Amino acid sequence: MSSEPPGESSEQPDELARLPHGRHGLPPEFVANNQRQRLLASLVLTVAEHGYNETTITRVIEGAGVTTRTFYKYFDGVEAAYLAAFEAAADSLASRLAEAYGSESEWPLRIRASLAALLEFFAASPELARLCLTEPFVAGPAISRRYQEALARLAPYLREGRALREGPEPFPETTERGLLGSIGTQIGRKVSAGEAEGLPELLPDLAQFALTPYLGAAEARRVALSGS
Amino acid sequence: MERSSPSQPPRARPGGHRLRREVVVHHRRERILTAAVELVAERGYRAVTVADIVKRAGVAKLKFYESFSSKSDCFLAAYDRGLGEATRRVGEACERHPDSFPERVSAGIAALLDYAVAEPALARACIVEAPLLGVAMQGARERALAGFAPLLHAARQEVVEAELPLSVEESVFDGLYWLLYDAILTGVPEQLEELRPQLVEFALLPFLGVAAAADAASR
Repeated sequence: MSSEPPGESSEQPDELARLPHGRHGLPPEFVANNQRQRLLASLVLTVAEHGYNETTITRVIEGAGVTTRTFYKYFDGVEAAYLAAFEAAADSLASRLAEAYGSESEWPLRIRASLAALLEFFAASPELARLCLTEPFVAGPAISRRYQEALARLAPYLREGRALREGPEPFPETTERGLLGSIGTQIGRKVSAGEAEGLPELLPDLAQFALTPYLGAAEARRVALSGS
Repeated sequence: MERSSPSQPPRARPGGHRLRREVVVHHRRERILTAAVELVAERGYRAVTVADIVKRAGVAKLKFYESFSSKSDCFLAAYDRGLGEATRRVGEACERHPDSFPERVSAGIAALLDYAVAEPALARACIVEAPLLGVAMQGARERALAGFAPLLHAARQEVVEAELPLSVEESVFDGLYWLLYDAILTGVPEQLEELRPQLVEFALLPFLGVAAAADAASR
């Protein structure tokens, strides 16, 4: 089903060549030559361009160069396709972050490296920043819950810093959630403003903000500004 | 001339007519807004229709369109009313503590949470459901940020530990907003009360340091 040979379809001769075209920075997970990947890639680009509310099946299949029937073979609607694209993006991001975290040995530098990787990931794929950081709230509670879960998956990286902390107890259980939610929103805001390529500039501020609860402001600032 | 209006009840007395009509329209508008908020919180924005709203409010559909052009127009009005009231309550609570930054932040957060607990449907509608409007609601969070961030900005004079990034008020606000969203999405309104010390500590920490923030939050 996923192996229509290029140029053989009578109605859509250039089907496989149709997506993705133009400039975009989608990771390889989104550009493989099969119908499902192409639908996901088209969905990502449609959401980024038109927003979730204007993302229709028609727009998605036109971008992917497939029929409505093909769409329904894989997904029962836009929301299901969105969830699949979101999960793929979250997995892709999670492995980048794990790699970045492992590239350093001291915890503060691990966090700094992970934040740098996060900013680079979305600077390279602003479409995925729309998908992952701003449109989940437009899509509604079902997808916002996935966002919530994706943040929860990242919280353990920060939580490691509790071992370094000298402050009084109890340490608020919401700290990591608040830090991550704030970072996601700030990245989303910059992308919405059309400034995705400037995301790496946020690194010192975000690093200082994220490290302060664990290291204190002075040390957090020192680490945040190191190497930049 | 008012008597000739077909929308007037036939038995209306000529004397207080205009005033009464304004009062009636105002009350009807309020009923519609309240119904819209309740329904959106219960069923989700996309599932609610104008027909549902007028039925819940007990008004005729034509009357709905005297006040609002569409479902989204009505919901945006409800949102603005909610945000306006929240901003007013937070500002008032903060003003009661002009000399102490930690107490001011603590009072502001408490006022916001109290309001959310007292009006759970409004809180859910404004925080979780409003973003579903997409472009129409774009900037809603930014408008809220513009209302609340200056309350934090004053804290810069009280900073003890290190130079703060320019973005710190925004960082704090975004974190607080997310924690509120997160709690309301998960959906146990009473737990919002328990969030207060955590939000206060989160808000104060970048300005005052770990120990002082924890101390202020525990009071």
